[in-house]
Amino acid sequence: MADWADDDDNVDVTTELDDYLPEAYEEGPDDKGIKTLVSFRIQDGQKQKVIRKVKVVTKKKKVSKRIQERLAWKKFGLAEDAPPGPEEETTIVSRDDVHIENPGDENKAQKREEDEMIKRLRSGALNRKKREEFAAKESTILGSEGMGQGLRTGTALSQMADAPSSLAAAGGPGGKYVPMHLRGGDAAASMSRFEEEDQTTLRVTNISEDTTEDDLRDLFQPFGRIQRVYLARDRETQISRGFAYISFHYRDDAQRAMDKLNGFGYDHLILKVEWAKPSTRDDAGTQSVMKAGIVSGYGGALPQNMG
Amino acid sequence: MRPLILKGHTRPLTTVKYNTEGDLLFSCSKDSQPTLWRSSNGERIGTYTENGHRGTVWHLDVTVDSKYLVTGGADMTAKVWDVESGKKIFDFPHTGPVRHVEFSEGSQMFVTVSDPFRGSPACISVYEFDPNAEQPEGPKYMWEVNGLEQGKKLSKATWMPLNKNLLSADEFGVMRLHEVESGRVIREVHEHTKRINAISWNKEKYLFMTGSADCNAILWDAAELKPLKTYATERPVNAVGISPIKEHVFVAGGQDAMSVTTTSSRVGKFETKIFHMVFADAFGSIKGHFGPINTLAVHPEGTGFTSGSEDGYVRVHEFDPSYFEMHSELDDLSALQTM
Repeated sequence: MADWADDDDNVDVTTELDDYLPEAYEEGPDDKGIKTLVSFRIQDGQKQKVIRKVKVVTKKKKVSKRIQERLAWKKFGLAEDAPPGPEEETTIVSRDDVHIENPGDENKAQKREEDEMIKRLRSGALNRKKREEFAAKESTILGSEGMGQGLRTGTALSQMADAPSSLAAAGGPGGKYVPMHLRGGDAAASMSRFEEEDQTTLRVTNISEDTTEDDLRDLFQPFGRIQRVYLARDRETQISRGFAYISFHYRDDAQRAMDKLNGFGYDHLILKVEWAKPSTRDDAGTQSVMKAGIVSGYGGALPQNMG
Repeated sequence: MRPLILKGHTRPLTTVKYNTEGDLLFSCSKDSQPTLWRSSNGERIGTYTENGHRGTVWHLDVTVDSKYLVTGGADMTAKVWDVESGKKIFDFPHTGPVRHVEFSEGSQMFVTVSDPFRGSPACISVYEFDPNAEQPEGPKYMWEVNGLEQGKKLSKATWMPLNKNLLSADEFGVMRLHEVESGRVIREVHEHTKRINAISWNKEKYLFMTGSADCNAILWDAAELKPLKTYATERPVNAVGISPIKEHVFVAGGQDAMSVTTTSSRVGKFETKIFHMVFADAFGSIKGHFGPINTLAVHPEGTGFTSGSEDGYVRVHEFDPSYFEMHSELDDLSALQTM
């Protein structure tokens, strides 16, 4: 009898039935214009059903006869065996929406980096020495911005003063790391306070369907520099769901925007602007730990006294 | 806009080009697989790989009727392909790597630029293009560039309007206007100070743009060969384009591939900048690549543009409606001036 070790590992044990794949089919388009494409494939020895939902938008365009003829061309070369239409391997639609940005913002990139430092500083990811160095630098930066920013300086510095305490909360006595579940209630409380103070995101509701992210950007830009605008859209139809999140760089800017724009009539609707709430407290707690410092690939916290 | 990302190449892109109508997009890279794409949906139609190039494909061009493609590669050949079937028709051996290939107006001739190699100098060759010929014929005219030092490279050669002259560009930023037949230098222009990486014509072929490693792009009047505008950037310019519908020009580039790993993508400035053609004022930038942009092509209808980068990706951008509605004070001003 042959030894099992002599068996060829690559012996083909698949029967015809195992190779069988159902035919690909399409459904729809339904009333929302969504077409469902279902195909089957074998990958890594497993049969997989691939469901792709595609929104069908009909646009009529007159094209020259030549272009029409070229649409019927057969594929060749490395693409010879590919089915009609774009292949997943070679063609992807970018997930990111790309804008034509104003290059004037580019000069602010340096500043953005400094802001980033301030943020990290606040969350206690830097060691004391760096923090002190940076505090000096920050006060000069903020000081040089002129009188109008005086208030901001105050906030930034007062938050910096808070930073060591929240650092201590995350690190426990003597800078030693204490896991989340071993920390006292105090720590958790300070964490949530910290979270609230750090809040620069506004939730805007009652937005009309036609409003785009750019419109919102235009609307909120005057109050201060915006980090991110997120407009909730229907996953399938890409139609606005009527609410959005606007993240500012500074809480003061957000506050002013909220004061001014809450109840503001925009595009036949009245906007409601409020602070964005984290979905659940628990969640927020974990997130702030994640944000607060260096974490391992599994989301667990690593020693925070590096640096 | 959400650009289409084309992942057909495994090495840095060298050239992307639209056909006359803009429905087809050709790309070539250092991976020896010139590829044909449908520009509307990013579908890969085919690759020109059967008995194809070995090594880098530096440049390509397509005939005005979109029937034939010519590619030039580092394997010291230029090859002519049938666009639809992907079959190779001819091989044209050269004395060095082929840097640039370009069909004349009307596509009855094409010009190639080859690098110096093993003692043979940089050369410009002009071929008659007859796709139905039995045998590929040797170059009709072939000459070295007078004034270029032995062993130095040319980067581009382009047909002037009505194929009257050829314009060559070299690695020192010098441009020379030549007689097509003899290569006699009619004029020499020293406007750039470093290698000229790109030459791009406007639709009507009375203006062209050059982009150079000296970080400038220049707009030229083709009839007088006179610089009209300079668009200054902070990075070497690898690619330029002129919008056929608006007074906009596109300038792209980035640091040398050599120094990329040591800098962040922001410092590298890997974005495409849009300048107002007349006021030379950069009003927009489009990001996305994470390596220097090597090549750029503006859609012949001005509805978008495509860029190919050192990072191996081609990004096909189709402008949002807001781009077409975009109305700057500058436009008002220029309208006023033409009144």
